Amino acid sequence: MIAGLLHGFVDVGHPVNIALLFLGTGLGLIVGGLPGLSSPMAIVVLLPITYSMNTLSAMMILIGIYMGTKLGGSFTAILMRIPGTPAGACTMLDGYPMMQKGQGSAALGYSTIAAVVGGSIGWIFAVVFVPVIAYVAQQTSNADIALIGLAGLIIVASMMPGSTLKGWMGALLGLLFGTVGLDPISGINRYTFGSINLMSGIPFLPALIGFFGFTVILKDIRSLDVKGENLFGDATISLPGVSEVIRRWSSLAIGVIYGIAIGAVPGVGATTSTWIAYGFAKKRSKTPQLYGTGIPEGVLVPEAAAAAGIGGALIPMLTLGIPGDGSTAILLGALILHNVQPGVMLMQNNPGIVYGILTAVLISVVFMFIIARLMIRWFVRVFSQDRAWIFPIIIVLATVGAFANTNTIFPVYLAIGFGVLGYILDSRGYPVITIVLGLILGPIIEQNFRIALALSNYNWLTFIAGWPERIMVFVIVLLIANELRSAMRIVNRPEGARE
Amino acid sequence: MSFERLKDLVVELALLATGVFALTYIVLEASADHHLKAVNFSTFPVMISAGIILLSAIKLTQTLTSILGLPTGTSNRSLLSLGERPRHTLVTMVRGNLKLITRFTGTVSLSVAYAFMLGNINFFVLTALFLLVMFWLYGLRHPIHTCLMAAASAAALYGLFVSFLHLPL
Repeated sequence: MIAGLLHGFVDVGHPVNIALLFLGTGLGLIVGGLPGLSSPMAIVVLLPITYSMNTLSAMMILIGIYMGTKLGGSFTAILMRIPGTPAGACTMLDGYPMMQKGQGSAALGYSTIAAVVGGSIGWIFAVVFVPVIAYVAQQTSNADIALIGLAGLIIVASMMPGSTLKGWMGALLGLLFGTVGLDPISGINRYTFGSINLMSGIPFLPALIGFFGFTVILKDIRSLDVKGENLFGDATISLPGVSEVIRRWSSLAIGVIYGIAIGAVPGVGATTSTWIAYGFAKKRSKTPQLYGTGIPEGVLVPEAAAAAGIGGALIPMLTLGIPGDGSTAILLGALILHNVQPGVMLMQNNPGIVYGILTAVLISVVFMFIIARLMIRWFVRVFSQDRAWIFPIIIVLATVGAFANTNTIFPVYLAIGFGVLGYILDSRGYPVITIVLGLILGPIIEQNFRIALALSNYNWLTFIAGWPERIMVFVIVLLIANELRSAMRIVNRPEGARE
Repeated sequence: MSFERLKDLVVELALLATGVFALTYIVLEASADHHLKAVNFSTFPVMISAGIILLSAIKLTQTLTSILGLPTGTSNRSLLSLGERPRHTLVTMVRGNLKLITRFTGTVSLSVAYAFMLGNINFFVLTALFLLVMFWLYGLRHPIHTCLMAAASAAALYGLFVSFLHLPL
């Protein structure tokens, strides 16, 4: 582990990689602060620009964006009462009241410190647990890999807010999209309808651009006329003293613990961890009535949770190939686009990439601190701009990005089509992230599923051959059975009761 | 029947149709080859399609039951799922209707047109025009600002994609 980390520092320490990481973190701070623009969108739109880079360099800019958005989202939440990211919505509860009381600089300071502390501790957990879990995961068979992928997909879909059935439907749609093209084992065309363009399957990048780029823009068109109120003309970050931070150590601890624990659960993401951590901190506080009135603890907890969640989300992503949130789903897609196969063998086949990513997270935390302190005034000016200027540029970036994948127009039409499909499904409560996950994990699950059966002479009992497999199958069956039972049970309900 | 329920119904019917089509298509493809093993290229798609059909049938039943006002089951919220998603209401749809529909359809159709003309018209000119029209569509009406911004952005994008990345645009 130590040797791997040192190698990671050496690799990341290359001037080009450092510059890309710095650039990515700065971009992430801006993107995170702009409402309507999300970390997944920024990553997917900039992904085509990384084609000509080597894999590690490409991951630098993407990891920088991922980290930067965690802090950036709180800036507009505190200054303008418009959270730049969903995770920033919780910070707004106390951050904006602090601003109104003339403590805006302090609020930004607490937010920055919490993000740095949370990001650092989350990194430590990732560095410790990734090698351990990766080692265990490498002992897996094809059947295990198929079951891990399937269990991960079902758990992610179950964790989505709203209807679990809709989450599963999204996952199944993604799996179906993943079957389009030449069957990798028999070479027979599936769902190509005679189209040459579909023979190599539905390309990842247009699907990612569609669901995380066009869909988000189409959704946010309705909020273009909403503008935030900036009462804080000349923004600065006033860092709290060490004693002030130590006095509030329990708030930081709660945020970090919930951020890592919940961030590591596939599909849940930072947003949920911030609210749960905030709720817990308020409940155990001696003065819960003060939460929401503008206290530093109300900023520390969610910000620490959001930043620490990155370390948590990276654990399943780097060890099992299962993303912890939308951004890590895109990062997985980025690895695939750079011909690096994620999954249980990633650590064994590409340890340099794994340790490079982990190293980049820590360095990005440092850059986040530096950039935020130096450039907060400039950021505020950018955040105040009308998003109507930015969305068309993003559309061009997305369109050309999809084109650049194969230098043909077909992927662009696919991206726009997925964008519209994603908008329609999202508006009816079907989470698009599950579709993307199905598209990414589907081929991995199917290939390992069929290889496992072929190796066992088509004996289906191979999927319950050992205790780990039996536990996974039990969890899968339990989740499915419970949800189907809930969905199909017919009970009299009081009138007016809603779903 | 509320507009929201109607939209749910349409989407669920579309998903059911997708599942049925996918299942039928792949079964017909598989039946044309008589030398297939028990687990073959159609196994996975069949399982997925069957799952889509089952889930969309369940959702459809729930929606129809709700529309017809019949007593129905509890919510299908999982013990694991956390929180509700906000739903668009008829009121919000009516309020921002015309502007929203214009922006939505304009965004999609202009994006398709932009993609169609990529490679046929000079990238800088096409992008500048596209940005100008999109700025106008999104409510930015100051002529000088929008022209300058469109030109500057198009120039920057040209520099990035054509000069730096050498894309054949």
